[in-house]
Amino acid sequence: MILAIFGSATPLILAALGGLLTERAGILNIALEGMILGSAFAAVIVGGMTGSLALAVLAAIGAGVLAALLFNLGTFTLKGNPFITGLGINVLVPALTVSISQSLYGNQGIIRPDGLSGISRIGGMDIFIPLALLLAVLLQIIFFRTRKGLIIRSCGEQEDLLRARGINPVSIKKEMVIYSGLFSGLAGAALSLGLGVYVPGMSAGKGWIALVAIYLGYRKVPGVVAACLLFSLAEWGANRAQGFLGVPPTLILSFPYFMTMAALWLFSVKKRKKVDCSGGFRVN
Amino acid sequence: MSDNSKIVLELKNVTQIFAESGVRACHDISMQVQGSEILAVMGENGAGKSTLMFLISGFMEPGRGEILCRGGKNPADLRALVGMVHQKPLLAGDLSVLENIILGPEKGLFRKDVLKEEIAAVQERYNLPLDLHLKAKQLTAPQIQRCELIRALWKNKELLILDEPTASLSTTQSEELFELLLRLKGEGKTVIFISHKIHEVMKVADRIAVIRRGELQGIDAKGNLSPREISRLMIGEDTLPGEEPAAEKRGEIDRTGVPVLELSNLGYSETGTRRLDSINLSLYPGEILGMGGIRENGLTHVEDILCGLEQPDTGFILLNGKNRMPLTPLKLRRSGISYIPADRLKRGAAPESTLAENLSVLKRQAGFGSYRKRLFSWAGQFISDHAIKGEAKQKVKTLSGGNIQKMIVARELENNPPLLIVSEPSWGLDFKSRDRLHSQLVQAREEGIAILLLTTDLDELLSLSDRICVLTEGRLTEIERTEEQWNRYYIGEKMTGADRA
Amino acid sequence: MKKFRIPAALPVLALCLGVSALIIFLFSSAPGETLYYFFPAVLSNRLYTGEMLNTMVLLSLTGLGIVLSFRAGSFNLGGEGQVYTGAICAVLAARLLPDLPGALGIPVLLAAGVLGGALLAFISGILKALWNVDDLISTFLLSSGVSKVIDYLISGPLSDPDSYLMTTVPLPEKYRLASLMIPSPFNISFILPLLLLPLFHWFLNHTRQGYELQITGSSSSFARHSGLNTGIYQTLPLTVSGALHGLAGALVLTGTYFAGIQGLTSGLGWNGIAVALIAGNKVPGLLPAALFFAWITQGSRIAVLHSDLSLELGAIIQGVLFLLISSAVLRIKIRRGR
Repeated sequence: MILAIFGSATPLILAALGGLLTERAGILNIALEGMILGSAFAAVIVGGMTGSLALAVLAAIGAGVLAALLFNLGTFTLKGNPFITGLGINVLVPALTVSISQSLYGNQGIIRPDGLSGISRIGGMDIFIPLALLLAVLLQIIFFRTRKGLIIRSCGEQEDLLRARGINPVSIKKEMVIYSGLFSGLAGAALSLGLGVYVPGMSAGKGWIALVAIYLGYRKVPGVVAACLLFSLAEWGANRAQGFLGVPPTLILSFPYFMTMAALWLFSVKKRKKVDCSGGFRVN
Repeated sequence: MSDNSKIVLELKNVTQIFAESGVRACHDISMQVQGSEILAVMGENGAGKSTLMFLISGFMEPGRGEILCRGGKNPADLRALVGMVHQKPLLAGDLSVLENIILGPEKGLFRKDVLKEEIAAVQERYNLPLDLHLKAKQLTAPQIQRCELIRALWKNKELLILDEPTASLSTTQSEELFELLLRLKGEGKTVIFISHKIHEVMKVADRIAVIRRGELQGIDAKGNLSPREISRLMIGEDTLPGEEPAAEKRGEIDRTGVPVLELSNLGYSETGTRRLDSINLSLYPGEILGMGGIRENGLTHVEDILCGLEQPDTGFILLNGKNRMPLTPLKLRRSGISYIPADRLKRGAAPESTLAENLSVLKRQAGFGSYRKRLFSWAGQFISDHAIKGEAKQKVKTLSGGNIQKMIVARELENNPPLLIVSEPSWGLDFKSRDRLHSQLVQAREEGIAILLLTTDLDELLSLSDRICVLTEGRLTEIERTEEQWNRYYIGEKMTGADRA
Repeated sequence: MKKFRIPAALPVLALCLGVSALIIFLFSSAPGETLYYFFPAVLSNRLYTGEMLNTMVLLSLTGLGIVLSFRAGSFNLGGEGQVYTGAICAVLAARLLPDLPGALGIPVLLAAGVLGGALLAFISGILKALWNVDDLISTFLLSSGVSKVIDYLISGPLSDPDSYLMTTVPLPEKYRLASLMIPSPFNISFILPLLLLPLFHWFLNHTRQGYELQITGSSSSFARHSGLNTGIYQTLPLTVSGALHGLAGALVLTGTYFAGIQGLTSGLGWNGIAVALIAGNKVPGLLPAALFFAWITQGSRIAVLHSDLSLELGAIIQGVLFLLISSAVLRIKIRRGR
């Protein structure tokens, strides 16, 4: 049971860690959802064609990084709004997967190449689980013991400080977005290779839940991991206790959005109470 | 003074123009900074000091001219040489003091304990106690400054720049800072500090440089400059053509009734520092009350409070005797109060909208049929009546600055408001427009409008005001109509704080 | 003589279309045929044409909602949820009031949809006016959350026991809008954009409130200091935008699907944004933009059925437009500064 919960939390953790990197650098990566989906797709396609785990994972990472590059193009080079750029990717990815899937496999639905199932299991355990935990530890070390970690942490808070110290905050942000693409790539691979199948829309809001997990975990690595496990646990519990609890799993799908909304509201209320030197406005 | 033959930094004909705004921040500045000295750079807000400091610290390259240090022109040398302590807090709140200090472009892991020892040694040496584990967001303003100082000293910067260092310090803390500066000088370091407080500068600086409108007005040893001279250099000696003699005012203003505007014991704090303290004033119909000062001294806050954007911590604002707090822009408009803001393009106009639309918001064209038609025909008439150079359907951002102000003034005076709050009205205007605007204000006064004039322009203050008060370090002082006080020199010194030197 | 300015979105569209044509040529085994299915085939029979026109009607409504919110300085990203809410409110109204005559019932259902969409958007508007909660994010989050709730309602309490689809009980015949172009869903609702578009255009450009709304949108600081009631100008347009989306949702219910099928919104909300952008954020551009978008969407659908190349052209164009939306390329400035 524990293994199952960790297993289902792994894509979340991977995506959330990538999202944490960008969030700390000051950019909220809305495109996680699309990145995960695209990577899951790429992993299954390449894995199906080559039968190789390594190549499948590489393809997934490639897809994630490609999406990240697009995000950077739209947000930084073209100076767009990052939320909308992220949405653009979330819209573009499913459309592209459908087209590619149609031309490669002749259908737009589930893709289940032979021999793909279980490809990511070594010694009975999904290798992505320890990978995710390892990366979490690594990230924690980076945040607190390396100079780069300091830079990332201050980028989201006080860009001018970085500029004053001779560091360009924009390149830091772009770099973090690429890393989040990488992490999302791993997340997508974990998601689809674990099952050996690609289902359209299989990311199922995990990108959004990852964002909620970031805030629920107070933007710290241990907290984020814990939050992801919590979500996984809740999902497991909801599936088991469907009859007893009376809260249908479909309804639970709405929770991440409402939670994020509530958090946003509280955050805004708090912000209004603070003395704002530049002059906050009041309702007339 | 030791070793004053060594020149640490030299500026040659440095000019910096910001292309987007056309603002000439620095113009042909040439000066030398000597080793082991304390150089004070003085000037009003917007004079170009901050830009100059950016140039000196190597974060901007001058448009023209060169900055030399260590025998070369390399900005990287400048960055290595200079340590800056900023005026506004510049730390990452979530990071600890230690982390803020060591933040930099270097790579790799760091040994926390080793660095902690190094920094603690620096703190010990210069007596700058500060708990390195505190999160930066918990620090008070003086502590933030201390943090930046510690970093500069830890990095062995030869040249330190401090921007308005005593803005948030108490007298005792300022004294301690000055002692530190003198000690640093003794160790061979060079200190540049920016200030607009003449009395402080006279205490601790070796040489003083005055910048005005981007140009270096003078640089000399302290002994050769008197506070009066410094004040004069800062504020300028322009005599403008067509300046109305201040004596030509009509008879006594009736001050027996209820004042149109009354501020009672107003106080305002920002980030822990008291910016406005015990402000009292009364304004009656048909008079112009001029409030002068330097922007940092609180004029911005007075403006923000009076237009309803900020709320004071203490005190009352009474309109026609009634307490109307909390003030909001809507309330002010409903009371018919007009406002000509200093920030014209944000508050006073909608640059993306047409001229007609900009005028319309105060005059509702009632009636049937197309509002658009009525608006544009009314606007066309208004524009020609007031000689504004522009078309009704032109976007305001394409008009000249002077015309934009003309439009704003015409609009605000149109409805015969009981009270007019006007801030920096002739900033950026040519002489003719300035004169015309001044006549308009005088005319408005004749018609019984009460006007509160907030300005940093000394001549404007003198030529328009019936009464003058000066805002210095958050406190208001009234200027009496005596030979001794009612003149440029006295008021100028009050504004710059020269009188306390 | 009025100068004719090319809407900035045109080069982007041309590029997308060009690239798509290229892909068709490269990847399709019968490119000529595929191209036919994409473009001219739309007009080849009544079904296709009618479907396309129906979509155009719906898109012009949601597009109008988006333009309205843009003009007021807001971004309504919750269109999908508002459309869905509109549809489900109409379903509920039909359940609660089964005995009205058709001529009365249909307007009541439409009104229910309008109210539902308006209410959802209103929440975001209030949050923005009172606590400065970012409307872009709040409309999106609320809409996504509510959509999931509605999905649940359709698959659960409101589900039709007789059907194998995820849907509610179909509407009674009298509550359905009759088709004008059988067998397509195109119906009398086409009157609505013909009425509403000129109405809103006139409102925005020929009334005082319309002007004040646009000033609040472009220079909120100036608007505040001029004494405009910025609270209302921030809440109301967003609410009306939601109302328009809700109307579209109710129309989808009464005119297209006749039952609350899960996912009946089929991207109306998102496509509305794309349409608004193609229209250059101007009301008169909405009809041609809606026509264009409906055409290529329909074309994609036909091509999927008949050819070997599936190109979700509509979604791709939309994605690209989103990526470019705030950039200088599209030259549409949405004032998001406070």
